[in-house]
Amino acid sequence: MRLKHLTLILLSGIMIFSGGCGKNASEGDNPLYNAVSKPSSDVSGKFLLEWWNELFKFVSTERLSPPDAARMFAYVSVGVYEAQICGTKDYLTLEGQVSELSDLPRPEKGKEYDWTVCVSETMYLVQDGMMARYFPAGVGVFNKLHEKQLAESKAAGLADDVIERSQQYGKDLADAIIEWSEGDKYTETRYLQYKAPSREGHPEMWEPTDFNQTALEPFWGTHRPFFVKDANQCDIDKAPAYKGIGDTTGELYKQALKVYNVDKSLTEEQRTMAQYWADDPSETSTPPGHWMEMFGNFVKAEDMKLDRASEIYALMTMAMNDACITVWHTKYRVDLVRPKTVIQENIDPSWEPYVETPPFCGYTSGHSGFSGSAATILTALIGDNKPFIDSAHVNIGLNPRAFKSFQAAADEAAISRMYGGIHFDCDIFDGLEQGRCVGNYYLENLKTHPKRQGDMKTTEAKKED
Amino acid sequence: MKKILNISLFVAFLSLIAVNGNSQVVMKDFLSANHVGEVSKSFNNNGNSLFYKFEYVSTEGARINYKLHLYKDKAMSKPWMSFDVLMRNLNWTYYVDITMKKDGADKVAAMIFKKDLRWSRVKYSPHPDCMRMNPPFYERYTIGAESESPEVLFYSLLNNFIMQLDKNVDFNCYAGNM
Repeated sequence: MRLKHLTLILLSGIMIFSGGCGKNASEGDNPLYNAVSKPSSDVSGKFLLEWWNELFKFVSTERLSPPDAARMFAYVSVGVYEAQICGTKDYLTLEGQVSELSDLPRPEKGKEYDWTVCVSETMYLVQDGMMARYFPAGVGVFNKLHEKQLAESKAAGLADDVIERSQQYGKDLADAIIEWSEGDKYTETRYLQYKAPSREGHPEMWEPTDFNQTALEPFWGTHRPFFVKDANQCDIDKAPAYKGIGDTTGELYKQALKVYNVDKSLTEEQRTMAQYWADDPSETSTPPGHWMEMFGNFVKAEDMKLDRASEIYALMTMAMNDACITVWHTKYRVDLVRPKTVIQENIDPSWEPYVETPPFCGYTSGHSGFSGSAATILTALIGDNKPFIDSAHVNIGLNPRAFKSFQAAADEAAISRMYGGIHFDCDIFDGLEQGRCVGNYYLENLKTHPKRQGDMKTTEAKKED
Repeated sequence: MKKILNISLFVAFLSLIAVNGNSQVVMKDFLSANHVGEVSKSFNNNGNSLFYKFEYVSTEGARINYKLHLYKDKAMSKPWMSFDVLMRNLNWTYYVDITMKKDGADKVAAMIFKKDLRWSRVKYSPHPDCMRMNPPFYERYTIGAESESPEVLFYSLLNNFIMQLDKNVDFNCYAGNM
């Protein structure tokens, strides 16, 4: 009787114990979840902003181009997401989903980690690896920030062995991310020579609009995307024809005339938009950085947790990077002339746009691609018709602007390029379409949060409603 | 080895001069001082000189506030009219925005100077009845030789801006709206 009683107690104990473990495992969808550490869903993601803000400054002072910035932001964001993934029950790793991302190191089972330290270490080292060719320009700032965040963890009472283990994991992960980044063809395209095709017999083709211009990143479209299958996936080709000097009836001429007329009667609101969204690489964090700054306001205002903030940063930056690859592919495939050239050839030989024309083909608009993809991700993950105030450019003396939704901000960013005189309507609207195509593909196919996935509506799904 | 070192130092020295040459065009000191100038043969003053003063007001972060006063007399005793001005001196770009008000509608005349390229452009579409030229015509202005002093370069930049506005804008149209 006593033995039977003891057996029952033991069995009950085993059931309770195994039930507890099982409950933990079945509650969430993440098989990598490390139950002995404080979950990343309980940690504030606000410390990420300190890193991003320094990186934004660095992008501006080092004059990184928008494609370069988009690429760096995306790799750092993937590093951040993976550095905390074992601390969350509900989110899934990108490993095996994102192109060629495999064999990532993982934390030791049953050992405690601090996800803030892991993330901080990964960010520190991935950005270092990505930006190596620009250093030592910004190294001091990043070293100080790294030391500061580590000191804060120690001051919070974190055990030395947990810090050490977390740092080591961050280092191993950063090495893996850097190694993975080296396979995206970026290094190879640094050494390729480009000769812009002649416009002789092809007046629709792009030519530099100023004496100092050389084509920017003509091979960017050949890079490995993160998640879209290839650069052709969201490609588009609805650019109107242009017959050159004397063509004053064609569709592209009409769009050029619109750019010219709008410029000649530019309202203050239109001028402000052109200036606000110029996102000049030498003065700002570029268009992809601007979108991250807008999202950063939500991380701060909502005290967003590390797992959720990391997911949105990762999805948004990867989508912007892929939008950039597809847009750049389209740019150099279609090779369409800029408004300045058409206007100077047929309307006003001395005309200058308000915003300086960038040194690459016009169709489709890069900013539209970045904005379309980012707004699609943010709308699905934060909400539609979510009003917000963007103060990203206060540091360059521009007043904050209010938007009723992310899509409204994207629409404004896109049309601002026409007000600035650097894009036709076709560049803008087709660029938005491309960006949204990339964003929707991410939302429909990349599995980061299976429980929520069904609730999200893509832009396409909303249209159908 | 010594020769290579000397050449490297010389190249570094030249780079330093080039960088300073660009950045000194808009020195910080200029942006807390008043600036006075004159446009000869002004369209807005019956072919006589038009005098102007950029009067420093305040600095709020990256926003440097000035007041632009236009004068018809050399003594510059009483402004003919005045406009609010916003200057922004960024890493590679220097902006001067002059706000022109008419019937409750603001419009901004902008001068954008790219420091590394050393040329500026003026953009302004005046209120319809305030145009002297229709459509407006602004010429790109390439700033002078690097051997000139930053003061001369800076003043030529502002002077060119006012001169191009004088050609394109009927200032009188804004009287009473300031």
